[in-house]
Amino acid sequence: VNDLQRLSIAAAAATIQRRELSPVDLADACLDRIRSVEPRLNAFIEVLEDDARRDAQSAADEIADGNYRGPMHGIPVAVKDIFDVAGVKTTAASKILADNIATRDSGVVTRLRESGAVILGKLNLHEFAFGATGLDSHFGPARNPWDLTRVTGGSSSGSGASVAAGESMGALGTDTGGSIRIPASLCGIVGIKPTFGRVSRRGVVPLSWSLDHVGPLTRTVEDCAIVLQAIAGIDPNDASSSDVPVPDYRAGLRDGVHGLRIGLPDTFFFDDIDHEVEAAVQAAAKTIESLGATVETITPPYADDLPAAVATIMLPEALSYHRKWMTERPDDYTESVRYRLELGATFLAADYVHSQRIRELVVNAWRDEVFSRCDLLLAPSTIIPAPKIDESDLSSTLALIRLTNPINLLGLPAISVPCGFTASGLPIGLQLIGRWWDEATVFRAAYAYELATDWKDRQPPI
Amino acid sequence: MNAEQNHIEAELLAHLARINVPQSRLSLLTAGLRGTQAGVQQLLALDLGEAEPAARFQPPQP
Repeated sequence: VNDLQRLSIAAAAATIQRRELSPVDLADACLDRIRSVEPRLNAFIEVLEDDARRDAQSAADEIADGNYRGPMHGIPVAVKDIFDVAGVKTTAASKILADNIATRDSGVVTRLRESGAVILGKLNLHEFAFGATGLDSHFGPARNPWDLTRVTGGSSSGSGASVAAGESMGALGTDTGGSIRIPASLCGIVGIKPTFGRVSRRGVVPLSWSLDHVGPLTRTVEDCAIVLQAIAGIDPNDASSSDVPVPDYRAGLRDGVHGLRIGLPDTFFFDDIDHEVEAAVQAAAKTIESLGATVETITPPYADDLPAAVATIMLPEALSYHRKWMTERPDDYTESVRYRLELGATFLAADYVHSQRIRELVVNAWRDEVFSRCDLLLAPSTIIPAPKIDESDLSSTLALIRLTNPINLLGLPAISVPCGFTASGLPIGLQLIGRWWDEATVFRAAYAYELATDWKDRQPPI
Repeated sequence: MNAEQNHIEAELLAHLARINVPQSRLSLLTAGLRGTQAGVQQLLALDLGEAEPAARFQPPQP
């Protein structure tokens, strides 16, 4: 079963559908890989080995009986330990929730099970998803498969590391300020933050209700589309989920970028950027242009104001959720997360409402001034590659979230796709940002770019 | 605002938020307060016009 886990979801699904590959063998390959690399990677908080084997056998039996459900049937995936899985602990990588056993599946885990996916386990994260490095976890940090001395990015740190290292074929993460796109970028994989409301958040430990998004991390764009297809759509039990129809994301995947208008920001998104990252992203823009898209310079309105507005919403909302524990058990938080929660107290209610008004203003401005002129905005995912674990500090965190968290305020769909490597072998991520609800165009452009390059074929040395 | 005023304000805000911030942590929070207030000040310069707060409250269906 060597290296079966390295197949893409699309390729594995086709082979499973033809009954040339058993979901049991595929799950075993992932579990073998987990046993092999986990002592160095620390991507998982809990591996559900028995459950995964049982679910893989059920999938195999169903398919043998002629009941093939679709491209997620029998595919081994893992979920950030912030999603409830019935009967399993949801710790959020915290001491506070170390013994918190979920009584029912979260909305997205329910969807994954309905699709026939096999849940391998619960993945590491930055405590309570409140950090961009992944370093502060009650279970120790996950490590970057490309360089074990470097951070994975967070907060979905285990999701990034696990998928990049071939432990799982896909993973679910959450993104409040970049927590899907940052680990995707730093670990050399694909991750999409869909439109706000596209995916259910029921049964997910919140960080900031106004900014939280759920989405997949995978090794290819097509796989990302497959997983998002499985989890997207309204959840009647989640008032924040939307009934906007979900298109077939794979239907237009191969349509190419001819005729697409790509906006290249002339401010903010390339400020203070690492020169290797800038070169890789500018080269990606040229590649996409050479594929038939039109690339034009654009000035995104209010860009410099967005990070402050995000902070003014995120920090008070996070403190609101954590207030009881911050009163009763403040010493049980990691130092950095406790500090961020304390900072939530430094805003007045009027500041919070002001930023919610800014959100309305900015959304309208981007609709009128950006997406009337272009179909997609092209930018780096992060301004730096993965920093060293022992050199990470507040400035690293601010650098990591700089280009992702504005998009959470806007609620736009945004993907990170690999677009190169630094001279020292660290992945670089390209961010493609689309119109609200138009994940299909985001996937279409990302797929065309991925097909024109070979970045996805590189594997980390672990 | 000087450092002492910042310190007092940080302590008051933590008190009003009803979270326990020990004296040993107040200097850190004071430094943080300077940062968050700089952001707030930046945002106050924006003309919001008629913009209402973004909200997703929806009354229950009849």
